[in-house]
Amino acid sequence: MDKQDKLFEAFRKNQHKLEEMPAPQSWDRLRHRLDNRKKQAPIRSISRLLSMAAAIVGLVVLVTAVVTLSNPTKRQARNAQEVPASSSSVLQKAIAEHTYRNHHQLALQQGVEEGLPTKLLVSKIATRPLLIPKKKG
Amino acid sequence: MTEEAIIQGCKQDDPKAQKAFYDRFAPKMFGVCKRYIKRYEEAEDLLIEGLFKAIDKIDSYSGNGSFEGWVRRIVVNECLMFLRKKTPLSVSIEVHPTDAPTNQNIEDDLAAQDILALLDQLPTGYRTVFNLFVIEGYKHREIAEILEVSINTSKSQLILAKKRMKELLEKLEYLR
Repeated sequence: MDKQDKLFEAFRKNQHKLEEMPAPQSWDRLRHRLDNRKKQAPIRSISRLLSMAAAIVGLVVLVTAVVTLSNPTKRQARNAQEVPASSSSVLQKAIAEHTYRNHHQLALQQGVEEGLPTKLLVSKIATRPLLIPKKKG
Repeated sequence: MTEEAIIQGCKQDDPKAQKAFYDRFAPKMFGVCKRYIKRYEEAEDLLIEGLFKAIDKIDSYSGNGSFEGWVRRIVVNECLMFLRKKTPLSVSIEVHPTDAPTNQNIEDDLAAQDILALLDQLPTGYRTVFNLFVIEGYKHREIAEILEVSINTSKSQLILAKKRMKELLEKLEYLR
């Protein structure tokens, strides 16, 4: 469309007639906003500093957590060292009992095969059954 | 106070420079706001918001190009953002009206109240495109980008705005 249209020209020529000083309160409102901006500026910078500090602390915590979790062998080794010897033997005993109970249950369900004549089924106190070779002679 | 002194003063938060900025640009920019916005009070609110942003962001003025043009763009953007919130400018109008240049003579001396009355008669979309094309000097491609409409929508809105304007100018006996 032609920008030189007479109608458009007429508007361009007369648009300055719309210029007008706004109400006097307008300046007061603008000045008030500008003053508030000055007061808010230090508060804004303090809150920015605090949020930056919080972000850094958060990052450090996150990195520490990731490093600790990604290195379980060290942790486990440390835990193992921390466990006293007496608790270790109690734990081993509990595991052995649990395994025996499981094997026993399985044997009751499936039945026990005699196996080779050269082998003898012997039960051992407080441990699981073991197949040991029959002693010759 | 010179324009350069105003700019430097505003950069240093000098109240005198800020007042000088207001005195120099408020009347012109109020005229801009009134062209886009029908309600006087809303136009005044947008003027204050626009001038505040201009002073607040004055550091981003590079010094290249007209300072008044830079301030005007901020104020126009403020008006467009307001209109976008209030009226969906992106409504697509894909009519294909024919355009003919205005052959009749128009009286050079359009009165201010008649200019506003003419603009007030236009729907928001017509009025916005008319202002951006005729006064601000944007191309249809740029208007389409600004208003997020198609180029054809921008063109057809301008043609329809012009048609409506001619009818109103005839009524007001500006066309001979």
